[in-house]
Amino acid sequence: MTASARQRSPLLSELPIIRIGHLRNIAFMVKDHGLQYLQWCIQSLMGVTQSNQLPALQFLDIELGTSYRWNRAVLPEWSELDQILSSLPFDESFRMLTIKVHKRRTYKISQEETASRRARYRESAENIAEDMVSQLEAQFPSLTGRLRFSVKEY
Amino acid sequence: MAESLPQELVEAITDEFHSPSDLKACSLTSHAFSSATRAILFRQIKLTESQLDADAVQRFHELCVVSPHIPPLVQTLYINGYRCGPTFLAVFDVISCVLQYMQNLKVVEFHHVTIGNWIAGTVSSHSFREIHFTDVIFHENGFRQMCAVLQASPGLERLSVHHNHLPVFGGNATSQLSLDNTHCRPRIRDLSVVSRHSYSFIEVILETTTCPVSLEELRWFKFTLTKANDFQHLAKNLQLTSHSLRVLLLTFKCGEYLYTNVHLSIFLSEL
Repeated sequence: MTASARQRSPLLSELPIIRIGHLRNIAFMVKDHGLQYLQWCIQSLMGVTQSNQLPALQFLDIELGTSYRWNRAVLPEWSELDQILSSLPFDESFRMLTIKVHKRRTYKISQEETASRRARYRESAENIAEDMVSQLEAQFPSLTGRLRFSVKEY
Repeated sequence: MAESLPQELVEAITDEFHSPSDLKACSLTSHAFSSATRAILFRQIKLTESQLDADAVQRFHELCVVSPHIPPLVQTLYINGYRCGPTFLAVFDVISCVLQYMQNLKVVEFHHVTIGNWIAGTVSSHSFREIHFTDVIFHENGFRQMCAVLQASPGLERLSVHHNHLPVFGGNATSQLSLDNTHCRPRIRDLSVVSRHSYSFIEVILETTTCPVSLEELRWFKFTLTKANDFQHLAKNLQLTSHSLRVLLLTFKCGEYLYTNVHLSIFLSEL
């Protein structure tokens, strides 16, 4: 685990570890600053591994808003999530991690922009989403086959 | 010729139509198609800005009076009072009159309306399967009446409360909600809560002993966390529903600041 090697949000000590061992499907969407919520989710998953409870979790869906693209896709948290979900007690029952990446729609770019600039924005938005997906994919070597990505325009 | 078709075939054909104009055209072909298409056309009634003027509502009322077989077809009523303001209140007498005809109403959706005492005389006689409140302002009495409506729906399965403004109860919230405890609380299965106001619906659910609904059989919970207190509410709710809840959907919309229980602000971007 890389927990000790990285900087944990000081807010985490204020937030309760939620009991999620009984849940079959968890989905969370990060619209604003996302790292502390990911850490909080990992903390709660670790709470399950440290208990004697057999987890029911089969599906975990994570949706990342466009503001999240400013954070690095290569984070120790992703590797940690990969290890937790591919290890006991989750390994046997866990079926799919889905990560949905938001991409800005072209029509939200000002109509006053020139066609060439709009095309450049479109290309840039597609590249950002694609880069993020490929970077994220590399963070989950143990969950291969149980990992799905999608890009959602908003 | 259409009159001789089996009813199952008529229904299979009408199921292929989705736009109101196609359904209307189909309903005019024969009596056989008329009843099947009407059941679809009137399944859901939407009253929004343009339909909430006095003339339109009055015409709808007249339709209900001359065609009493139409209102029982309505299963979902959607009311959006956005930009209507006083107009909405002016027409609500007629709407409440119309509602009395809709005896098979199962789903009610209120958007952008102010709920006061009027709700007691309108929807309280119905038993709903789903109730949705979005951007609703509750007057204190209206909130009490709304709780009574929830309690009067023993078959209520789904409740969503989004961006509603609840009255701030002074002192002990429990004492403020003198609900009728002779009713069984509906055991809802799906709950969706999005709150941006200081005193949220989830607090009423968790901190009021006379809570209008029971979470004992909750299986699906969608919750938007907007402040630090919400994490505590989430933990408490998960504890309460640990034997039934299966699906949890969370959205984090805390923005730059989280306000903790001790009124300390934490600048999240620095974390």
